[in-house]
Amino acid sequence: MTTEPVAGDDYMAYEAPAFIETPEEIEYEMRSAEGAMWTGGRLVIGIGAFFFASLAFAYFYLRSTNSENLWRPNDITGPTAIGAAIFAFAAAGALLNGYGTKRLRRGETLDWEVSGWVAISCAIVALGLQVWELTQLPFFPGSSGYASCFVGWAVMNVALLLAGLYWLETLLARWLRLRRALVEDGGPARSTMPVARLFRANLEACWYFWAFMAFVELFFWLVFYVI
Amino acid sequence: MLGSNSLVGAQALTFVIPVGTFIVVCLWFFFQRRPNR
Repeated sequence: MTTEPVAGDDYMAYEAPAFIETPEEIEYEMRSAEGAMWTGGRLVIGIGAFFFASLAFAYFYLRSTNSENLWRPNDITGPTAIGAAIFAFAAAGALLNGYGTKRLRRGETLDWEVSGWVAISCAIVALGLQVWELTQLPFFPGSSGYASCFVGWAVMNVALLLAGLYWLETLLARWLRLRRALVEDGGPARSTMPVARLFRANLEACWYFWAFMAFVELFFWLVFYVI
Repeated sequence: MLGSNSLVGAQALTFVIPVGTFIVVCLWFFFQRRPNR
C-alpha cells in the first residue's frame, strides 16, 4: 500500500489545474505588478519619512528643552565643508538620476546610462565623505544633545545613501543584461516585454526615492550645518 | 522658543512632529497620481 498517487490516472490530487491565461489576464497581471511597484515605492518613501521624522523629533526636542544648557555648548558644529560636500554630491546624484530617467522615457538610452553611473559615483563619494567625516568631528559623540543627534544622522545618512545606491546600481546592472536581451524588441526603453515594463516601473520608483533622498539631505544639511 | 529651555515647546513637539509627519505623508500619498498605462 502506498500513499503516492498512481501515475497514469486521469486525475491526480496533487496536480494543479492547468491555467490557461488569456492575453487580457496577462495584461491584468502586468498592470497589477506595475501598480505594486508604484505603491511599494511610495510606501518605502513613507517609511523613510517616519524614520527621519524620529531624528527630526530628537533634534528639535533636545534643542527646545536644552537641559542644563547642554544642547549645544559653545555653538559647536560638525565640519561644515564636509557636510556641504555630502549634500552637494547627494543632490547632484538625485538630479542626474531624475534627468537620466526623463531621457530614458524619450528613448535616449546613452544619456540614462551615463547619468545613472555618474549618479552612482556621486552617491559613493557622498557615502565616503559621510564615513570620513566621523573621523573629523570636533566633539565626542555623547558630549551634547547636538553631538548625539549629529552622530545619529551620520549613521542614518549612510543607511539612506546605501539604500539608494543599491537600488540604482542593481537597476543599472539589470539594464546591461536587458539591453542585449531585448535588442530586437526595441530595447528596455521601448520593449513591451514584461521584464522591460517592470524595469521601467522599478526605475520610476527608484528615481522618486532618490528625489526623497535629496529632500532628506537638504533638510538635515540645513538643520545640522546651517541653522 | 528653540534653544531657550522651553519645556512646553518640547512637549508640544512630542505631539506636533509625529502627527504632523503622519498628516503630511497621508496627504502626499492621497494626491499621488498613478500614470495610466
